[in-house]
Amino acid sequence: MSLIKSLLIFLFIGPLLTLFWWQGTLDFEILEHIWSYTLGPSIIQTVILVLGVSFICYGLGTLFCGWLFYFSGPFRNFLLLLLVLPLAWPSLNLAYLQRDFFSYSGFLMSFLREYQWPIFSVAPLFGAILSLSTGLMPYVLVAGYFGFFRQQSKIVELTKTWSLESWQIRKHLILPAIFRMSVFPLIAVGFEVLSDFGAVSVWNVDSLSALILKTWFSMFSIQSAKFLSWLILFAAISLILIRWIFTRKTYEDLQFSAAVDSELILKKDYFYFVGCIFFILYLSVAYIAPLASLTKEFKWEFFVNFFNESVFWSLNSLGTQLLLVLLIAVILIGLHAFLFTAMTQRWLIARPIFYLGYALPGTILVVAFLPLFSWIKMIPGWSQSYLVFFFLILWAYVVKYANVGLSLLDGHSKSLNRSIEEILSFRTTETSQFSKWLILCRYHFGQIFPVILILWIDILKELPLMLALRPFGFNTLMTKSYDLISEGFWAQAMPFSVLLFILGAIGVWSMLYFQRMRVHNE
Amino acid sequence: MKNRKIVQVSKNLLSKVASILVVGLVMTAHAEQPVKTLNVYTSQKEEFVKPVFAAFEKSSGIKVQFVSDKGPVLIEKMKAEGSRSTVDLFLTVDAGNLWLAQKEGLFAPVQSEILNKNIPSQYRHTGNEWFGFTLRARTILYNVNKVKPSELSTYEDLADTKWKGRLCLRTSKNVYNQSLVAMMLDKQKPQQVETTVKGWVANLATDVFPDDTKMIEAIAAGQCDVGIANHYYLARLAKDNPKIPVAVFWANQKTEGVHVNIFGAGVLKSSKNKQDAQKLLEWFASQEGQTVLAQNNMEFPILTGVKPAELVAKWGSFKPSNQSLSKAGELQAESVQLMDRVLYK
Repeated sequence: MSLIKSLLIFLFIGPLLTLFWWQGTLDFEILEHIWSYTLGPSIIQTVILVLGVSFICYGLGTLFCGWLFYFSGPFRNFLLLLLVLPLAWPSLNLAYLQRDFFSYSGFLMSFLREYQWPIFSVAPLFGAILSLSTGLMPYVLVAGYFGFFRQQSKIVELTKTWSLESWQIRKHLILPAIFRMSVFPLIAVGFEVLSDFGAVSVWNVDSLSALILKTWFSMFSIQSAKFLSWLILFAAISLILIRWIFTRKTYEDLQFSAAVDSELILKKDYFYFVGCIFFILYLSVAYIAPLASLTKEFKWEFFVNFFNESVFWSLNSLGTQLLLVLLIAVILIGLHAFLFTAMTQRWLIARPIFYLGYALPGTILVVAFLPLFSWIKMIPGWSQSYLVFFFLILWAYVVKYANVGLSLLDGHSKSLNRSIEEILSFRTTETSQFSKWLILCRYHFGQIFPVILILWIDILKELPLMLALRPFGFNTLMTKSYDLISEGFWAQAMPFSVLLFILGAIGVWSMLYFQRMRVHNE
Repeated sequence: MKNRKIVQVSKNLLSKVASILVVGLVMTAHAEQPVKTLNVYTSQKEEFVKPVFAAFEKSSGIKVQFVSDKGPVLIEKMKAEGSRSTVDLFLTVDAGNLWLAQKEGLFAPVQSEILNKNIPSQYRHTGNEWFGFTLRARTILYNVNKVKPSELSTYEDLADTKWKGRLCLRTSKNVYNQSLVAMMLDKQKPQQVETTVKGWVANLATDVFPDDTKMIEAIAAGQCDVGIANHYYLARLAKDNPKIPVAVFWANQKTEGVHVNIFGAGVLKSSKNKQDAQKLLEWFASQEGQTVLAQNNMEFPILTGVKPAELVAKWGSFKPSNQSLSKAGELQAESVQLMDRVLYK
C-alpha cells in the first residue's frame, strides 16, 4: 500500500515540481515592470472576478433552489434542466456569443438602434463576471438543490413542530442550509475562475491568468510566468482555508437543518415573483444571447458540410475522442475513490496539491508535462503512438481534475466511513485497504456516477491540455471550435460548438437523472 | 432494488466500452505511417494550413502531418523535446515567434539558392535560419461613409485629437499590435512611440476588441470611424459581404511604409528529415506554392509576379516597410511594457 501511495504522490507532485522547478535566471526587469504596472490591477480584477462570480452564483443558485420548490412533477425537472444546461457551454464559446450579443454591432444593440432606443455598453469586467456566472451557477444549483431535497423530511418535522411561517423557514432554515451546501461548489467556482482564460480573453480582463500568459507569450519570459504562478497557489490555498472553515460547521449543522417541503412554502409571495424575474433574466443571458448570435451568422451549408465532408467522422475520430473522455472520467473516479479512502483523510497535506492542479491555468499546467512528454519519446517506437498520447493526456487530466471528484465525494465522507466500518464489522476476515475501496465504490456508486458525468462535461470542454499534448492530426470538437472562433469564423465553428453543447447536454441531463434517482432511493 | 439494477446495467456498459476502447487503442497504435512524412508544428490555424499541405502533398508526394497551438507553447514543447523531437519544421504567423525559436537555438541554417533568390533579405533571417513566404499588412481601415481617404496618413496621425472618440483598436495582448509598436520602437525614440500610443488610447471610441473581425464589424456599424487591423480580416468579411462599408488605407506611404509581418518557417536542428523539410520551404517560395498560399490565406505573396487573391488585388499595391522583421521579436517585450505604461489594455 505504501508503494501505491508513493506512486500516487509522485503522480500529482511530479508534474507540479517540474512546473515550479526553474532553470536559468529570473528576468528581474520584467518582474519589476509587472510589479510596478500590472500586478496590482491584475490582483484587484481577479479578486473582483472571483467575488463577483461567487456572489452571483451563490445568489442565483440559492434563489433558484428555493424557487424550484414552488413547482412539482415533471415541470420542476424541466425548469431545473433549463437552469443547469448552460453547464454544457465551454466558457470561451459562451463568452464569445454573449460579447457578440451585447456589442455595438451585435443583435441587441442593432435592434435598439433601429428603433432609436438608448443603447448601452457592457463593461469588460462585468461581462466576464456575467459569462462565467452563467456557466458556473449550475454547479451551485445542483449541489444546493439535491442536498436540499435529501433533508426534506427532517425539515418538515421541524417546521411542523415549531409552527414556522414561510419567511421564517426561508430565513432560518432554507438559506443557511443552501449556503452550507453550496460551499463546496462555490470553492470549485473560485478555482474555475482563477484558471479561466476563455472568458477573460474574450472580455479582455486583466486577470492573474491573463497576466501570467501575457508574460510568457508576449514578453517571452516563461520563468517569470512560472514565478507568477505561485500567486495562483496562494489564491488556491486561501480558498481551501475558506472551505475548511465552512466545512467544519457544515457537518454539524446539516444534522438538523436543510430544505423544506414544497407544501409549506407554496404561498406565491414576493420570493416566487423575484424567482420568476431572475429566471427570465438568466434564460435571456444563457439562451437568448447565444442563440441570437448563433442565428445571426447561421449558414446551413456549414452544417451540411460538417456531416457530408466527413469532418464529423474525422475528428480522429469522434468515437475515439468520446471513449477517451469516458476512459479518463472512469479512471479519475476510480482514483478519486482510492485516494479518498487510502490517503486524503489521513494525509490532509495532499489536498492543496489536488486543488493546485485545478486552479492553475491549463496552459501553465502544460509546461509541467512537456518534459514528461519528451522523456516518453525516448522509448523507441513510441514517439508516434497514440498510446503515448493517451497516457500523457490521462495523466495531465488526472492532475487537473482530481479536485472535482474529491470535492464532490468529500461531502459524504463521514457517513460513508461509518457505513464501511459497519459493513466491515460483520466480516470475520481482516479487510485490506483495497477491499475497503471496492466496498466504497460498490456502495456509493450512486454518488460516483454523477461525478463521472460532471467530469465528462469538464473533459469535453477542456482546451489547453488537449491542444498542447495531442498527437499529430488529432482534433477534438473543442480544439476545432477554438481554432475557428479565434479566427472569427463563427459560422464554420457553429457545427462543432453545437455538437459539443449537445454532448455536454446529454451529460447534464444524465447527471440530473441519476441524482434524482439517488435522492428518491434514499 | 433499483440501485442494484443500475449497478448491473452500468457494469455491463462499462465492460463493453472498455473492450471497444482496447480495440480502438490497439488499432490506432498500429496505424500505418506513410513512407515519407514531414512533421510540422504550426501556430497557424488548421483551416489555413490544411489545404496548403494537401497541395504540397499532391505536388511532391510527401505527406505533412501537423499540430497547431500558440507559438510560444510550441517553442517550449520543441525545447523540451530537444534532440528527441520528431518535428521537422516550425511554421508560424509572426516574426516574433520565429525570432524566439531562432534565439533558443532550435533552427538549423538552410542553404538554398531558390530561397535566397526568391525571398528578399528583410523577410528572412540573416543566417538563413527562417524565411517569410507571404506578407500580412497591418494597416488603417476606415468607414467609407464617415472618413475620406484624404484625412488619413500615418499610424502616428491616429494619435491626433481630431480622431478623439473615433478610433477602434484590438487589445494590446495580441501579437500583431505588439509587433507594430515594436517596429515603431525600432525607427523612433521610445518617448515618441509612447506619445503616439498614449494618443491612440485617448482617442478610443470604446473598449479594445478581442479580435480584428469584431473591430471591423464595429467600424462597419459606425461605432468608430477608423481602426488598425490586418488586411486579410477585411478580405474575409468582404468575401461574405461585398457591400461592407469599410475600406483599406495603406498607412505611412510617404514615410517608412506599411507595417508588415510574415507567414514564415524554419527547419529544426533536430529534424531527421531536413531534405524534405527544405523541399517544403522551397515549394512555399515557388510560383505554385506562392499562388496556393496567397489564394488560401489572402496574404501578399513575396515572389514578384505572383498575384494576390482577386479581392485583395483590388486594393492596389503599397509600399511595405523594409525594416528587418527580427526587430519585431527583439523589441516585443519592450513594446508590451510601453503599452502597459500608457494603459493600453
